[in-house]
Amino acid sequence: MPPRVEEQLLTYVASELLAGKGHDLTPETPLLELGIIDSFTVLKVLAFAEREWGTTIPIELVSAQDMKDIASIARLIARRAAEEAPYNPS
Amino acid sequence: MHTDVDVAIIGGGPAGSATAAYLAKAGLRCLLFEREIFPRPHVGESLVPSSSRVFQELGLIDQMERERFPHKYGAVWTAVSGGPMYEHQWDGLAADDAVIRFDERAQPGVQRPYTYHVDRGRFDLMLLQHAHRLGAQVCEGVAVTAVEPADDHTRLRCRLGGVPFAVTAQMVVDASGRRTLIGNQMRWKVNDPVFDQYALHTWFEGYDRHAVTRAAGADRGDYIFVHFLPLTNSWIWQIPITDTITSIGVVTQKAHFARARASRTEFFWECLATRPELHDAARAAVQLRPLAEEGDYSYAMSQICDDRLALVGDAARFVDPIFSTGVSIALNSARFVSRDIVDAAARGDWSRASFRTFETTIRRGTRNWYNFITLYYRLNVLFTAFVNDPRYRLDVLTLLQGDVYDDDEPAVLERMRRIVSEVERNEQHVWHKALNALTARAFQPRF
Repeated sequence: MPPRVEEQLLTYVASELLAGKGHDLTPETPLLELGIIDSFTVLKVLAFAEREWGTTIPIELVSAQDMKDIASIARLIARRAAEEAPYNPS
Repeated sequence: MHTDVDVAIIGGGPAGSATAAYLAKAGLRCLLFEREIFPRPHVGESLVPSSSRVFQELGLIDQMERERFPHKYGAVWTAVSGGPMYEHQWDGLAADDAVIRFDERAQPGVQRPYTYHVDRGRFDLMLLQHAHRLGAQVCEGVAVTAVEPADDHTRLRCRLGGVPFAVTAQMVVDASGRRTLIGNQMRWKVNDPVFDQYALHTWFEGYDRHAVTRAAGADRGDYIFVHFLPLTNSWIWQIPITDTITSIGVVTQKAHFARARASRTEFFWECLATRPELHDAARAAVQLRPLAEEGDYSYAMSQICDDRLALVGDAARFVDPIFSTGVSIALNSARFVSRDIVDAAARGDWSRASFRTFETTIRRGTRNWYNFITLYYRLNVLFTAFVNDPRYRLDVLTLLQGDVYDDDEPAVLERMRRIVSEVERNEQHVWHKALNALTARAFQPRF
């Protein structure tokens, strides 16, 4: 994953989810554990990914592990972007 | 056979009055019996916008405005921050409330971007008087005790002050509400094993709903508020009745009430106390009425039509009122059944087949409501996340506006169901712990 995605996610989380107070945020900050990402904000993060990179991530595919920290979210986005076939649930 | 009237209607609530109004307007001879003397109090005070089609068709919009019923522009869901249903610490980050405005979606055939909250005493009387004005005969204080369908007529057994009498009609419409007169008599009634809900409600004078709603973001004191409680399947309704009067109701599982071993009053206040801001606002206000309770929550009928018989409104089905569906279903069933009845009268064919369009349409609508409500309870506070997602928002709003009668299975319900079953299956899912207690069984309703 290019560091660019992690950087943009850092900026997004710091400004939108932490109201600009996330100066010490790193790609490894445990977002779920700290409650920075929760059941509600996870949708905001997915909407952000769709807006920024055109990557659609249906909520039913998102595990707690995927939202653990910014590095994990970036990996999730990369994985989805790499999948050529669109999500097609049976 | 010559009968006393064309159509006899049992019950003068919104379903009965609107049916009588439509039929009288079409020139049929109809006679409506109401057990009580109106006005009388009744629960179910908030409407959805699809009701407006009925007000427009019956020429009632101007009168609704003259009565100064509060305009309802939308709905708000609020959740308590933290609480036992969350896996993670919230660290003071409050859950987003969900706010829906009806004007976000133009609704075909509905002229105004709002609906109403109503004092059911005044509202039901107004509808009944309107039916009378349009030519229906109305008798209050008469109890109907039995219905006797025959080959060429239907007989109604009644009592006036204890004295029995009978009336004959070509057909009978049962709008007896949760009393379900014909459903009981014919043994068509099936109780719903999933939604064993229970409600306690009353009116408060001086409940500062503007302060409460400002605390939730902005002053939306004229919206309906649904406040989630940190108890499974439990919530509070907050409905404006006048500028100063607010209806407050606690809906919970009957099992919670039974377990609490408290009096109704104690239980009501204990539930409110789980949301301190609501509790304080209610304590500072004057309670105007004793607590009223509603039990035996949801039920359906194995059939809602027969030769010379049709069931409308609550007499046909009752679904949990989380989305203010009661009056809307009542008015829409009146709208659909009256079309079939006018047609049946013209053809002189009063057999069950004549009411098939009504039966299909109203069953489709109530089934969609039911599925929506089931998913709502399952999603619990995640419902607000769903409402706030731009991908689903307008489709959810379509349902909330009461447009549920056209599609056999609205796509958004299918989408919600797929998400719920995936989250349910996958213990690692980021939402798994937040799902509520209703089981997957609820997805295969028998009706």
